[in-house]
Formats: sequence, C-alpha cells, structure tokens
Amino acid sequence: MKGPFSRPHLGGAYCVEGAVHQKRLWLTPQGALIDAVSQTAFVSDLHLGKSTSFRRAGLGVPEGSDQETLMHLSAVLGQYRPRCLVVLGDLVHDVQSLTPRLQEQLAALRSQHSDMPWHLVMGNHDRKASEALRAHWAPLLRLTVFQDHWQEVPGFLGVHSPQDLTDARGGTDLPQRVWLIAGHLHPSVLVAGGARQRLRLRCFAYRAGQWLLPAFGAFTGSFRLQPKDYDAVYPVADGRVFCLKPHAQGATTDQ
Amino acid sequence: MTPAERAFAALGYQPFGFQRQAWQAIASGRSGLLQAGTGTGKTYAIWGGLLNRILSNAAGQFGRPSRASAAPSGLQVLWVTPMRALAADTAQSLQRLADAAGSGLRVGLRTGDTSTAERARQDRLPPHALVTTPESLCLLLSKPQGLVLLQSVHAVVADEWHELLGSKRGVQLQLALAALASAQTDMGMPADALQRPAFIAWGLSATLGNLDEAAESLCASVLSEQGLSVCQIACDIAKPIVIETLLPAQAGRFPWAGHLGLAMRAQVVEAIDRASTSLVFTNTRSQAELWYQALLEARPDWAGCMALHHGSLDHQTRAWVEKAIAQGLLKAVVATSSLDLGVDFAPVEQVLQIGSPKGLARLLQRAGRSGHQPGKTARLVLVPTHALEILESYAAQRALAAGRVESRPPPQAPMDVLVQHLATRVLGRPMTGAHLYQEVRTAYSYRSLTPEAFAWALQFLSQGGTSLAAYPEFHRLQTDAVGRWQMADARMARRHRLSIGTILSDASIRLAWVSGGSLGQIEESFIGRLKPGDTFLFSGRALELVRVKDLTAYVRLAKKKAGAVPRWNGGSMPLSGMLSATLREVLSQLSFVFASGETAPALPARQAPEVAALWPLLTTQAMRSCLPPADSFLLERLDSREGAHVFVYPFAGRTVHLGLATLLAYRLAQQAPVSLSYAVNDYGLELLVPRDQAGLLTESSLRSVILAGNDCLAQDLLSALRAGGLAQRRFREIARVAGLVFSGMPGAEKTSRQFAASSNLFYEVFQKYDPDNALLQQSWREVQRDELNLQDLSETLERCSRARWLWVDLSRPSPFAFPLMVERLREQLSSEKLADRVARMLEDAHKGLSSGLSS
Repeated sequence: MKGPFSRPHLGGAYCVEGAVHQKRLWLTPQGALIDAVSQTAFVSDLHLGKSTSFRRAGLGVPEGSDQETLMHLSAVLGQYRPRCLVVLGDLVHDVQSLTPRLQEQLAALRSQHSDMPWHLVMGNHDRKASEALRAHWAPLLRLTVFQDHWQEVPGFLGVHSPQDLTDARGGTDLPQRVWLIAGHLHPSVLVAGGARQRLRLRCFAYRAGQWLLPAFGAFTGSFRLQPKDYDAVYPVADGRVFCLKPHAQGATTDQ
Repeated sequence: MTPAERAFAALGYQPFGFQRQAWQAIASGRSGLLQAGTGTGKTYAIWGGLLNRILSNAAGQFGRPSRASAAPSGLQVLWVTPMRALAADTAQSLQRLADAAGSGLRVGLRTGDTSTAERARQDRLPPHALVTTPESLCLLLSKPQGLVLLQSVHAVVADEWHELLGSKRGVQLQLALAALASAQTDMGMPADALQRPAFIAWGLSATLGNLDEAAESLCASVLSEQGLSVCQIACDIAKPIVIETLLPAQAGRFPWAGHLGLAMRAQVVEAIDRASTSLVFTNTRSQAELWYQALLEARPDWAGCMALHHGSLDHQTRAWVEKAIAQGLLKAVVATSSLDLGVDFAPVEQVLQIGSPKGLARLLQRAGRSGHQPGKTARLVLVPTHALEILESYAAQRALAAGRVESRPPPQAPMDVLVQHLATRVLGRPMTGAHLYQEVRTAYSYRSLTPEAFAWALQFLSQGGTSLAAYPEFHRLQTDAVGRWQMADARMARRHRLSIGTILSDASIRLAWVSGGSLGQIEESFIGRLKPGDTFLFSGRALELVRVKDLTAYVRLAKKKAGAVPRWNGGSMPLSGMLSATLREVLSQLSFVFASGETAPALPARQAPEVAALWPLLTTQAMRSCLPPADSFLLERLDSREGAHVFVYPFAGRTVHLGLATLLAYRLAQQAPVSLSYAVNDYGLELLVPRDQAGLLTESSLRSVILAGNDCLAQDLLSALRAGGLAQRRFREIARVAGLVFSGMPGAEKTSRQFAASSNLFYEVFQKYDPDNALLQQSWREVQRDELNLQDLSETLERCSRARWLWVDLSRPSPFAFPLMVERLREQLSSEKLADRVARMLEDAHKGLSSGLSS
C-alpha cells in the first residue's frame, strides 16, 4: 500500500487490524477514525460555535475552542490525506453557532481541500440548525448531507448515535463484516493507577462490530463509560492513543 | 422619657446598662458595633436608640415637642439580616417595640420571598423601617425607584454581622453601605436640606477574635467623612455554659475514623431522653438525614415529636418546625447550621453537637441556643464521631475555659463582588468611573484598591476582559454621551438582576411530589447522578426519583430502602487555627506521660474523662509510633499494596494541611518525575506514591522539601495550584458572582446549566483560551488565602522546620495514620509526562487483569 498508511506508526495514532472483518483502521490522537483501505476519515461531535451559543445564553466562555477544533481537523486532513471526510453528526452546536466568522473559518479550511468530498450525517445538534445548514451552509461548504445514516463505503455504516442503528437498519443486528461507526456519546474512561491516581481521558471504544468515536470538538464534555462493557477502549492522552483491553489476559499496552 | 423608655415601661422591661449605653451612642450620632450573645436584648438596644432617633427627627422636622409620637414620612432605617428565614421574626419583634412606644411606625419586610404586590405597595407608601437581606438591598440599589425609596434612609443595622463579616456577602453589604453613604451627599442636595440626621451604621455581633476589625469594616464608609471614631459597646451579661463530652461505653472499641458517629446512638438517645427539648446539631445535611433516621429507628415512639431542620427543606416545613420548638411540642430537632441563627427558643434545654465543632465561635453560638429561661444555663453536649474527636472536644473545653475565640477576617478586595456591584450600581443610575472608584474605595475591603484593578473590573464589564476578541457577545456595560457607565441593554439588565445574590447558592433545583407540593431544594449535581427509579433520603423520608423536568425533580415515597443520602456542600469545614493550637498543647501534655519507657503507662489519676476514654488509642499510638511533644514534629512512613505512604502531623487544621500537602507534593515532584496523590484531615496529611517510585519518599527527601522553607512558598504554591485541580470549584463560584456564569434564566438550555455546574470543564476552557483573566488569578489568590491559608501555612512550615524530627517506620498503620489512609477525597499531582503516566497506569491495569485482580 502506498501513501501515509504504509508507515507502521503514524504520530501518536493507533493501528487496529480487524482479523474477522479484514479491515485496518487508524485511530488518531485528534479523535478521527480512518479506514486505511478506502482512506475515509470519520470524525464526530465537533460542536462548532458552542462557545458562541453559551455566551449568548449568558455564560461568559472565552473564544478559541473553534479555532482549536478546526486546527485539529486541518491536521487530520493534512497528515493523513484521506480521500473523503465523514462528519458523523453535531458539526455545529445550535442555530446560534452559525456566525459569519465561523463560516469564514470553515470555508477557508474547505478551500484547502477542495477535491475532497465532505459528508455530514445530521446529528441531534445539527437538527437545531437544520434549515440554515441545508439551505446555506451545505452548498457553501459543498457538504453532502445524509439524513440519518451513511453507507458510501462497503463494510461501514456511519450513524450519529449508536441508537440510530435501529432506525437505520430496522433492527439492532449488524450484517456480517460491517463495522458500525458512531459518535454522540462523547465517551471517556477513568484510568486508575498506583497511589490511587485517577485520570479521566477521552477515548475510542469498540464492542461487537461497533465503534464509538470521542468528541472531536475542543469544547465538549464527556460521558464516562465502563471499560468492562467494551471489548477495547482506546484512551487518548498527550497526542497519543493507547489501548486498554478490559478482558484480555496479559495483553500488551501498545502495539 | 424617650420613646424607647416608654416602650420598655409599657412592656414591663427594665433597660440593661448596655442598652442605655447604645441609646446614648445613637442619640449622639455615633456608628459602631454592639457585641452581645443571643437572647440578651441586643436587638432592642439598637432598635430602641433608633426609635428615639426617628421620632426626635420627626419632632424636629415638624416643630412639635419632643415627646410627640408623630411618625415622619419615608423609609428611615434598614435592618439587614443574613438569612431571609429570620427576617419575618425580626420584623415582628421590631414592630412590637415600635407599637409599645405608641409611635405609629411601620416595619416592613423585603426579601426574596416578598410578593411583587407587596413590593409595589412599599414603593408607594414606604414603611419606616425595612427588614431585608444583603441581596434584596442590592436589588433595590439596582433600580431607579429603589434608589428613591432608599434616599431618606439615615441608619443601617447589620444584624448578626459576625455571620456576614468574613464572607463575600459581608463585602457585598460593605459596598451597599458605601453606596448609601455616598448617596447622602450625592442626591443633588445637602443632607440638612432633607432634614435628615447624619447617616449612621450599627452592627450586632456575637463574640469574635477581631471585634475591632468587625466594627471598622462595617462603619468605614459611613465614617469616612464624619470625622468620628467607631463606637464599641459590649453586653455585660454573661450566660454560664456547661459543656460535657458523651463518651463511648467501651473506649477501646471506638472507631479510629469516620464521620457519622452512629456508634454513639445509644448515648445520644439517653442524653435526649433526660431533657425536655434538645437541638441536635450535625455538620452536614446528609449527616442530619442519617441521624434523624437512626434516632427514629431507636425510638419509634418519638415519631411525631422529633423533627428535621436544614437549609434544603421547604421553608414552610422549616417554619412549622421552628414554631413547634418554640411551643415546646418537640422532644428533639436534628439540624444543621440552618438553626444556628434566629429567634430564641425558650424550651430548648440542651444542645448536642455531633462531630467536631470545628471552631470555638461556632461552638459558643450553638451552645447559646439553649437555656433561655431565666436562671437556666446553656448546656452543650459534644458527641465525638471517632476517637480523635474526643481529644478535640477536650481541647475545645480547655480553649473556651481560657476565653479563646477565633477571628473572622473580611475578604480583601474580591474582584467578583466588585464586578457584580459595579453593574448593580450603574443599573440603578448611570455613573462615571471616577465617581464609582471614589465610592468603592470607602468600603473597608477595597480601601487599597488600585486604579488598575478598578479599571480591569470596568473593562471586564464592558468588553468581557482584557483580551478583546475573546468575548464578542459579552459587553455588558457601555458609556453614554457624557461618559457615564450604563447597562448595555434590557436583556443584560434582567440577567444581572436575576444573578444578584448568587453569592450564596449552588446550582439547585426544586424537589416536588409527583402528586403536587414542594419538598425543598436539592443540589442539581446530586440529582444529576441519579436515574429515575433510584431512591434517596431527604427530609427524613426515603424518596424515589420519578423524573426531572423544568428545573424540578419529581419524587414519590419509595417502597424499598433508600440508597444514597444527598451530599451537600459544607462537610469539609476546617478545624480553626485556635482550636488546633489548643489541640497541640493538650497532645503535648499527654505525650510526657508516655515519654519514658517502652511499656504502656497506666492512666494517671485525676484525668478528665475524655483522656481516660482516649487512653487505649493514645497507648496504641505510642506503641506503634509515638506521641509528639510540642517541640517535635512527627512523620511516619508505611509501605502498603497501594504504594509508599508518608504521614505528616502538623496538627494545624485541614486548610493548612491541604496547602502543605500541595506544596510538598509539588516540591517532591520537582525532584524527579513522579505521580503523587495526597489526602488531608484536621490532624495531618498523607503523601502517597506508587510502589515503583517508593524510593522518592525518604526522610532526607522530605527534609529537603520542608526545609526549603518559606522563601519561594507563594511562588511554589501558585505553580502547584495551576497544575492541580484545587482552584476549579472556587473559580466557578467567582465566575458566577462576577456574572460570567448565569444559570438562573428560566428555560435555559440544559447543557449550559450542566456546564455551569461542571467546574473542571469551565476552568479548563479559561486556562486554555484566556489564561490572563483576572478572575482566574483571583481564584488562585482566594484558594491560597482561604483554602490553603497562606499565612498559617507559612507559620506551620516555620514551626515544622524548627522542631525536632521524629521519623518512624511503621509496620502497621498508627491510629493517627489510619483516618488519612481511608480518606477517599484525594488530590493528585504529577510531574511525569502524561503519556508516560498513562502508559504505566495501563500497564499496571493489564498486569492486574492478567493476575486475576480487578483493575
């Protein structure tokens, strides 16, 4: 294979090879999941404009988080050079987020990757700004909007919330050899160590064919998941992705 | 005969010396502080003087003879009380004296509970005296019609000033007073044109270590132009107090740690049984809930004559309880600080304090709630919840006998309160920056406010902060054509008025029955952790959460037994420095008994019962480790599965220990990459490192970090604070007071309310995107001063470095060490690279998994 994916270790990213599914994924420290075969980058829950919405609601939060989020997105697109970007929902926080300033910043990033298709699966937050997104922002940013699920690459099913699976497929069973990719939950995990240390880290998580992405946005809270409910969780710290296999016997910590 | 004398005669009272003294002082236009305990007649000492003043003022105004009782028009006196629950009783009591004087004066009430209709009535026809809270007073200042109401006021009374003095609400009142005092010369006409006497302020306070400062901080702005000194009057009536400690039946079996104290239930039941009415004080609301349940279980026959009283309960419930106590209907009331203040309950014979009293002033206050009938004494029963608290009770009695009591220093120039006040001020009336600065500086806490700090506050209000681009939607103030500041728009104004008074409250939501009817308030952070169907204890009942909707949690009676007990704030109040010092003295005296020989000495004769009860614990401590004499400093080291522990015992109270632990952890982490966690209590602190880094905790490494001493103390602490998580919560409170966080708008989006409650995310966002914000710096300063107590910390460090070191390697936890080992609230500090730290933690986790242990 050519391109950036031929390297064994990319920055702090973590490589997952699915024996059953015959797939190879990269989990990047920014919070993107990249399919190495189709070179599709999945991100979720950017919540752009959240600080704007909060300030409007009377919470004086400083600006700066959007720039950071977009910087991370730019890093993912620049470093891994995917063929397609899929945003699995909650690109924006709500209708008040859609400021001219944000539009400008997004358009600037878009113009640097003008050949790359950008897909958006509508998340619950996007729906609050649905009209403006569809009528104005989608054409401007050349976003292809998917109402509830994404299936452009065989073997992958992208949804916003893991629960949307039921709606998308009319049932909870995944077809064989399909990986479901979802966001919405903003997962994090509590890692404990000697001397009663505790660290809460945002993470990717995997169980039974389903992937959960961490929130990509710089200004987002997180939901603490129980690692034992998953086959593997991948905490992100300090620009590096780790692996914790709660059920593994004598597992290694890194690849 | 003055109106006050007339009123006293009508009520059949004989004025005490201090009451006459106060009347005299008020008659001669003085401002000052009256120090007196509860139930001594201090209210009428001040109010009587003010009655005389109002009526003689009216007489002068209308040229009538001085015994005339014609009431003047307009609001004359503001009576500020710290709790709105107290306001109604106070108003009644003021009205009673005014009526007895036949004065025709009306006393009104204006608090958060006052209806809009009643407010409007007051605006039209002002009462002569208004009982209010600092928050409601600020709300009046924020409205043009409020300023009209206030312009005729010539006296302000701060009731229970000791409660407000050391808090930001006290600072809020200082600023309000500065505004009122300046409004006197400021309304466009000189004071004498209004035919009004000079403005005066009086405080009522319980005994304190810093009465001079208490008087000065209240009266500074009022006296700034009058050229008078502060007048201090002390009540000459001393009420005797009897204190005893309830001791466990078998001293040796008493737990070494814990805070509920249910092991003492039998003794507490017995103590309650022997008095007609008892108040049972606990330190937290959750403790109150549990004790109420426990007492009912022990004595089902007390159902109906026992009640629960805490600040989260619905105010009707509380009012019912208070009435029932006053009527002598109740055997016992389990209460928190919600019953510390208020009208006196004559039937209360004794007060039980469960758990450490924490401070001497607090202890005196609580004791004072009993023995109000003539000839009775105040009776206080201390109930220790673990062994070392027996020692604390003993120390408290010794300190009180020696007449010691703590100080409550007022906060110095808090920026958040200033920001809120400035917005309040210009909302009432546009004002120039120069004018505001001059006015604010007359308040005691801002007497050294620099022009730069003041300019920052205005800039913060007009631009959100110094970094212009950071807050585009947060420009709250703007200047008008003549350079006066005013509120930017009506939405900002409404929002600001709703946030006045957030100084006190945490994000709480209403608790109500599904079937209708309110139960009280509960912390949102607590409800947020429950799922529908979960049960919890509240108001003495097991409740099941049904749903949370529109800022209300709906519940019904639970069928199964309750799981969680709500955790309210306020559990971590520190042991006061004065009580700590007495504790060290007591311990040192006891240590000499153990100083000689390896075998346990017999209990010397003629010891206090507390010492006898403590003997087994002291013996164990002496055998496993040692009892430190006053000139020495004990450190213990222990290795366990968790890692290497070092226990340090300065016996200086938890605030100082938290500061010291933070400092030591930081300095140790500077020596080598390491991750520590630490825990503190009122007696000492524990440093803990993982096993593979155990080599870092040696006697010499600790010696070096402690002997590094005071030189770079402030700087090291600041660095440690930036690194650790201590400042997060404090910062959220500051941001709320300063109006940066607003969670009161009805129907606010849920995520933004949750965000307002989640301190770590909030703090992180500021650290990252606006690190120079002055409110962040204030949070560090406040944590250093209040939570870590820089001054005491520096003294403690000095004391420890001079003392003789006693380093003991433990093979088993000592009685002093044990409570620290089981302390679950911990702080962490790390100097390792995060990635290295996570890698090692995950490796440990996997090792744990593969060896069959759970992580």
